[in-house]
Formats: sequence, structure tokens, C-alpha cells
Amino acid sequence: MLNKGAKGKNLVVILSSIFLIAFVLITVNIKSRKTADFFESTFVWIVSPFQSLFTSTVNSVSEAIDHYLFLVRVSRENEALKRQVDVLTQEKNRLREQLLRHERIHKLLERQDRWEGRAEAASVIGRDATQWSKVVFIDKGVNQGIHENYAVVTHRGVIGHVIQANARSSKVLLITDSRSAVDVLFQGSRVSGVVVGTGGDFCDVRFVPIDAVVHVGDKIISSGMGAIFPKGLVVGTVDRVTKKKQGLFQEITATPNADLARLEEVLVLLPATEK
Amino acid sequence: MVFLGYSLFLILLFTVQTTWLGLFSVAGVTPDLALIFAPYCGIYFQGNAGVALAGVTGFLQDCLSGGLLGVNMLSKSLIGLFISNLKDQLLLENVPTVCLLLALTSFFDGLVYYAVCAILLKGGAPEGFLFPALPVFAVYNAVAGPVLFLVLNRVKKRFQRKDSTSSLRSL
Repeated sequence: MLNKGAKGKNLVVILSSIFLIAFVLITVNIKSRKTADFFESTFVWIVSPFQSLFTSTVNSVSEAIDHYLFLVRVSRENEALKRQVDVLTQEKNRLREQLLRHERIHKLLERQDRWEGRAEAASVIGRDATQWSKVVFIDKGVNQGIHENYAVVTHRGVIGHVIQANARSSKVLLITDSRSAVDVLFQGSRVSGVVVGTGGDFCDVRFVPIDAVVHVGDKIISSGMGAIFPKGLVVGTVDRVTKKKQGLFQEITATPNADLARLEEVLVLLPATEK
Repeated sequence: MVFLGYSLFLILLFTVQTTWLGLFSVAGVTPDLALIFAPYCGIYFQGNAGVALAGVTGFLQDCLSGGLLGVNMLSKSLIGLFISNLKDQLLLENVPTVCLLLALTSFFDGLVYYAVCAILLKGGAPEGFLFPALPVFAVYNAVAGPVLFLVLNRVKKRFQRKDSTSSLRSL
């Protein structure tokens, strides 16, 4: 009887401790980001060399299978051609964007819109440890001049922004995460909206007026507002447009231009003047 | 030595979780090794050690995710605590029981995350979280869990055998 009572007391103490520690951690996380960063950075610092090692092993193995076991030459040629198509598509988009830009009245603002900084190439070394957030880890950090809120892109378009920079690795929040929001423009119509992650493979484009002309297949580019993403970067393509009879805004779904499921190398855009 | 062993094991677990496991994704869902390890701690560790280890595992998972610090620590500690208290009433050597337990803990873990998102992040949970993501996640963990249990038991037995041999030698 006494033993049972002691066990029950012990259970209450443990249960209270768990809730107390969790409450303190969550509060610290919300109120003071720096303290939370300390724990996260320390563990990321420990794990990132292992992640790099494992990722490079996985990449070497999959490369060996792709390139040596299965149709060595065809595979390589196909990959090179695909890369070329990607580069040309991006080039076409860039040229189209430039052409439109020249046609517009606000030529004086052009200089401000351009990205004048440099870029740092980084490799993706890991993904989020849970199912529910869309985060990747890259192998570059503060030592390479990377800081929080720097835009991260691939040759195909925007993938996300840095939410935590450690000494030699960083955490990148992808645009598909439900907490991500990017201010955008539709390339053709110049209508603005906000690309918000859904937590899945797609994004929603919100706050697009019901009378705006938007078609499936329209390209979405960053507007330059929000001070994270420079103007003119391709974000995605319109996938589905729904106009409801009631409501102020359209319901638009977009697919990110970059393949977020197969990220290997990315570019972090650094400003012209370092922080 | 034991501390070093567990530290290395946790580093390995999270390295695999954040790198290799993406190759085994089904409908965008991968098994959660930390979530499988938490009930294991509750079942196979004596006293409060299982609860503590499950909590540490959850905390480290928080560090390696984009979510709020403390959410996984809370859910994994509670899972460790409930299972360590219920293990005497359950037939845990049975594979279907373990599968069912892992499916239930997956639902519990998901619901804790969902509740925190709804309360603190004002509905920041991903779209399709409750369906289909959470049931697929539960089934995947239930299927992958017994395999990880088997591997962990083998490793544990091997270490215990080594320990007993070395202590016999020292005698």
C-alpha cells in the first residue's frame, strides 16, 4: 500500500517535471530566441560533420548506381541535357523578365531592384528531424558569411531562407513550410500576392484579388518586398486557380520551380555589404 | 562509458534520420526513429532512466527541426513515462502489440504537435496533417518499429555479453 502510494507520488513528480521543462523550453523559444539557438546550434554543430559524411556517402553510392551500373553514357548525357534545359529555361525567364522590366515605366527603380551581392554555394547535408516542418541543413554558416534571413536559391528558383546560422552549417526554412511566406508578383500580369507554404509539396498564393487575371502555368516571381528575396527570382508556377462566387480573393495553388525533394547544391545570396 | 555509448547512438540515430531516411519516404512520409526509440526506452529501461532518455531524444529532435523547442521533448517524455508505467500490464514481447503501441504513440505524438501548432502558432500545422499524413505516419512507424526494436535488442545483448565477459575476466 505504502509502495503504491510512493509510486503514485513519484509519477506525479515526473509528470509535473516533464510539463514544467517543456513549458520553460517553449517559453524560452518564443520569448528569447538566442537561448534556444544556443541548444540548437550546439547539437547541430555536433551532428553536422556526421551529416556531411553520411550525405556524401549516400551521394557517392547513388551516383555510382546512376552512372556506372545503369547505362553509363546515356545517363550522363541525359543529365547534362536536363541541366542545359534547366539553364536555358531559367535564361529564358530571366530575359523575359528583363524585357518586361524595360517596358515598364519605372525605369529609375531598376538599379535598386537588381541583386548586386555575391552568392555562396552550399551543399544540403540533412533534412528536418521531424515529419512536420520543411527544413534543410546546409554545410555553410557564419564562417562563410551566411546569416539569418539570407535568401537561398537553386538555378531553378527560390527554395527558402536561412532561419538559423551556425559557425559551419545553417538551417534553411523551405518555401513549402507552413510558416513561410514570400511576397510575389505574377510575371505576366504584375499582380501581387503572397506565396505561403502548405507543409506539403505545393504552396498557396494568397491575397490575389478576385478580379485579377491569373492563368494556370503563369510564372510567379519574387517582388523584392520583405527584404529577404531580391526581385525577379522565379518562385513557382501556377497550378490551379479557383474563383469562388463569394470572397475577395482567388484560391491559387502553385508548384515551386525548384525541386525541393531533391536538393543537393544551393546558392545562398549574400548582400553586397556584409552584416 | 555508458553515457558516451548513448550519446554516440543518438548522434547516429539523428544522422540517419536527417540524411538516409529520406530515401525510404512513402507519400512524403518517413518513419520517425526518435518516436520509435521513445517507447523502446519506456519498455526496456528500468525506473526513470527510460523517461529521461526518451525526453533527451525528444529534445535533440527539437534541436534538429524547424519547430518549437520543447514540443518533441514533451511528447517523447510522456510516451516514455506512460509506457514505462504500463509495461507490466502489456504483453510487449508480442510483435502485433508493439505495432499497435507504435501506431498509437505516433497518433499521440502527432496530436501533441497539432495542439501546440493550434494553440501557440495559430494553426501552423501542415495541410493534410490529420489526414492522410498522420495515419500514413502511424502505419509506417508501426511497420518499421519492430525492425528497429530487433536491431536495438541485438546491439544491447551484444554489449551486455561483452560487459559480462570482461567482468568475468577481471575476476
